Amino acid sequence: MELGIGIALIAVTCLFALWIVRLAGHNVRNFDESKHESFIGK
Amino acid sequence: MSTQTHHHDKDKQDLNKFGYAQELLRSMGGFSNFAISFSIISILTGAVSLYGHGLTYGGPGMMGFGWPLVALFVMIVAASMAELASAIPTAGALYHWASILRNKRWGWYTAWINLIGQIGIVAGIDYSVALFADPLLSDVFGYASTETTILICFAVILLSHGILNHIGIRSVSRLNDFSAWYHIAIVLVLVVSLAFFSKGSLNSVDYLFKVGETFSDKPYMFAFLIGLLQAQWTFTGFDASAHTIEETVNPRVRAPWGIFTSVAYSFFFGFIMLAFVTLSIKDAGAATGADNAFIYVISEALGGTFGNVILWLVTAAMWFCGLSSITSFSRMMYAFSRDKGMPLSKQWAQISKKFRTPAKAIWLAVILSFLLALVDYIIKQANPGTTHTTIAFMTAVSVVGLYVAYGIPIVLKMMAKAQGKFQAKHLGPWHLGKYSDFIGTLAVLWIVFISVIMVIPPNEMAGYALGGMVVLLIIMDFAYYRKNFPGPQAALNTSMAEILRREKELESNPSGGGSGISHKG
Repeated sequence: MELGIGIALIAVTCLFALWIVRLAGHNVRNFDESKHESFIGK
Repeated sequence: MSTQTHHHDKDKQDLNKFGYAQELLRSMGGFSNFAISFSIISILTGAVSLYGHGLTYGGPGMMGFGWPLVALFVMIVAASMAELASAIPTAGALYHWASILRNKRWGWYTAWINLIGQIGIVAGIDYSVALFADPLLSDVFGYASTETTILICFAVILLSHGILNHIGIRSVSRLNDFSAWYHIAIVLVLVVSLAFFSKGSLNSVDYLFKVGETFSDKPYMFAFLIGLLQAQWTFTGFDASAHTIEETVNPRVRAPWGIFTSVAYSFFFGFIMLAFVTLSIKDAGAATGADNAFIYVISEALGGTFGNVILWLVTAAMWFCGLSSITSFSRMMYAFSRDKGMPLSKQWAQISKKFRTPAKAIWLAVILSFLLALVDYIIKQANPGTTHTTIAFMTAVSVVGLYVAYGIPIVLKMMAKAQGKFQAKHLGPWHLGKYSDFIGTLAVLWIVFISVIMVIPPNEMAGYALGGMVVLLIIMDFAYYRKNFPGPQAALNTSMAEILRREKELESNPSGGGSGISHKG
């Protein structure tokens, strides 16, 4: 029981890391510099 | 025009938009930016020096459940911070983000809380090195390791880090790159050694996920929460990728990757290491009763000589970790001081003309870290019966200080977004899209949770210390800084001519004499 829960937790952690890498990687590749504006708080 | 030159010009222009000159040497690549955070997280420092703490409170299940649980939530925090680093790529990082997302006073408090955490992390790391190195040295040179010799060893280690950081980012950067590979290599050596050369057989995998066994006097669930300090402290310091952002080429992409991947890889390699060490435990009760549980487990499993070699290698990894942490801490103070947020700011914002490093901020980082350990040493000498351990005190201070500082800009970004001030056009290339708020909310909830559990007994001393420091901050704020702290908005009023003058002054005298260039008041 504990072994199963532990492996599931490790799998969730790994999948989360991969999901973020995929999500951010996609956004980096499709970034449009012309639409960007520096946020300077003014 | 080469891609590198194009990036240099673009990076400098991005920084100039915030009113800052390119004073630090921008020479770090993506791997170096990752390496500095990976080295500060240093699975061979946090997970190892607090191995006994984790095992004592959470038993073997702390490694099987505690490590991945904390890693999951820290990756959530790291992803939110990475998004901010991409949007606002300045060395002040947390401080600067909070200032411009809300106002300078939020920034000022964030900076000081971050600074408190940085003192804790540098002191905690280098004290860990001393805790490992001093007994090893005492064996070699035949003296008795005591609290005093550990403090002296700690001072020498800090000194070595101060000198190396002073003489240049290039050498530190190379050492950081080496450190990242070194950490991975040592973990692999340790794992292979335990897998193939351990005396007797390893425990079954079930042992790694065994819950309900604590070697403390606390109920298991409560003890488990206290034991999370082991993993939570290990996963600190990844803001270094943001603090060195003005020294990184193409920082809006590389720094966020550095922040996130340093945590992810640390989870992976750290888990493998902890799993094998825990599976090689012969007697958990005896290990938790030993002076250093990690040393005990390794020595029992691999024998005295082999165990000693591994321990020297681990100690060297910890030394690299301390080296990187001073780099990060000094950049944070440099960035805060150039906006005049600290007493004697002009001094700490000075850049050495010869080495292009914030030399005085580096030495201030060394001194402050030593003082934290010295105060704890004096308290212990005055109260020999005290039950808290120096390392648990320092690590709890750093966890709470750093994570509160991580959380403030994440909350402020969500608030600024809700108010329509921070919009999609302000995001950098590295962002979380429609999941940003959800991930940010989870990050903040985790930070609140761990901030509470890190200061409950037996770590209440850290809570008192942090509380005292916050009271001091409030006094400082109301007595002076409330009216006199210009914040980053003042930098925005700096003319481009003045920014270019500062840059030219440094570039025209790359190896000249003089002590440094300062920010004019």
